[in-house]
Amino acid sequence: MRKILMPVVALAIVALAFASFTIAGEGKDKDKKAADAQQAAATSSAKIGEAAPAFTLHDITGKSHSLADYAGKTVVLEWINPDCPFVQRHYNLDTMTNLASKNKDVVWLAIATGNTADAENLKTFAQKENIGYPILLDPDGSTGHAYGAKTTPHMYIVNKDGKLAYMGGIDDQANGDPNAPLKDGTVNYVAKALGEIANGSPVSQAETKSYGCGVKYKK
Amino acid sequence: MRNLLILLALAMWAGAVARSAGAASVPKDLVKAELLADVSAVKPGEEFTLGVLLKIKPDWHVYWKYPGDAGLPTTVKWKLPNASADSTQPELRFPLPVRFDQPGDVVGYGYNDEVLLTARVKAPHGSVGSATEFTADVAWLVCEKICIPGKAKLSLSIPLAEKTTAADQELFGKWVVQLPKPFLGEPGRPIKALRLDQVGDRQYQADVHWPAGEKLQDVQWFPLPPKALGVEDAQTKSQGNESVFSFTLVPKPKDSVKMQFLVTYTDSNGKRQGVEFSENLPTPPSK
Repeated sequence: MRKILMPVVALAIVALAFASFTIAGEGKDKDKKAADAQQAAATSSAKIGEAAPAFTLHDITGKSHSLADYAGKTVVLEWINPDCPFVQRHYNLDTMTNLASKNKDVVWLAIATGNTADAENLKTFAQKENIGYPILLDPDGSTGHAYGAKTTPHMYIVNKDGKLAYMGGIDDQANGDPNAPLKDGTVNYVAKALGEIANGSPVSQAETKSYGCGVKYKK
Repeated sequence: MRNLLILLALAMWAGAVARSAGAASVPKDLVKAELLADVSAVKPGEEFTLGVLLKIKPDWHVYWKYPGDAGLPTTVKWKLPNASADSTQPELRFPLPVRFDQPGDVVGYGYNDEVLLTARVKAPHGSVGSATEFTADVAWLVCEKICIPGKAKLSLSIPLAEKTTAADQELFGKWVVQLPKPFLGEPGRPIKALRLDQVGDRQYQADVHWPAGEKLQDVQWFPLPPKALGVEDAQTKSQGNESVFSFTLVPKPKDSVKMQFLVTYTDSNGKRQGVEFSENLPTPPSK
């Protein structure tokens, strides 16, 4: 263990020394900007009714997708992790795939952040679960941070004007058993919000507590 | 010596087997659950303590009654003798949890290594000499890099006797002292009161004080919001004889809601203590 750590520690020291040198060299404005950036990373900028954070990410087949590409359409963002039992449960129940195919005029994008942005693993999962929508890779976690994604699943809806219309859980029944059936009376918040958006009515529950596994951001 | 060598060989063999199992396979025995009581025999009608002991594989964790940003609370559903199906469950007592700060500001609250979740129950009024059966349905989510749900149906048979006989005193004693104390404002508790302010649309600030002479270290906050509400952006600032906890509620509460806070600290004897508060959230200022 010690043998592996030594070069890593040495590298970290060099990197740190370099970082502090460059910041010192560029004065106080940079310091403030760095602090602002840190603040932005810590507290996401995603707010209901405001412009949804922009992103450009590659999907598991290598195709690039920007949020701006879908301007004028309702977009659902789904944070995904094939190894998470909460996600597995909703794919066993076809919650996401059914919702996506029922709402044909809605763009559905799954996003895999951090350590879960593994194209091969996601391709296998997509094939097994018959996922027809793109799965985007967010290895550095910048899109996850911009939206404040904490769990898998964590759901967001961007409306036709590019504004955030919903953020939170897929439904009101937190359950980590991949084989658990859907409980009677479960409220699917995303289905409800998409219905309201389609009717031109305001989203009645625009924000809920999401549940699931933690998003696996890199250290 | 010979025994030691055999043991060593066995341990090495076990290690090799574990390694050859590969990274992709789901690890087994992440949590071992056992139902215990602080009595080995109990007098009819007398109160005693049942405990679910969870032994957790190193580096993995299970969750407190509020799991934080992700995860699931550990739950225990009891089946007690002579209790009807709709009778209320005895309160499940969670010892002081720890906070896990995972990369990307994903905060969790729970336990590593081992935890004893307890409940005070009453022995039924039966005939002395008969055995009485207690059952616990336990469910947990255990996480490290991945999360795996687990459950166990545990049961324990305890004979009714003329006189109660204590058992497992050391284990129960060790965990009883790690239970939070309810805040009653009584003397002897250094933390006197909690104040709650609304500082933004859905942002709140809670603070506690203690007498200037008290040396409290490592003050930590564990929020317990009402069902369906989440606590985000939780930040703690402790300075002098004050600790301030700021947080955001998601979604924004519609009505006045009651929220609980557990404040833990290390006292001057180096012992970790916890005080539990229950407060109504201030109603939003009218615009």
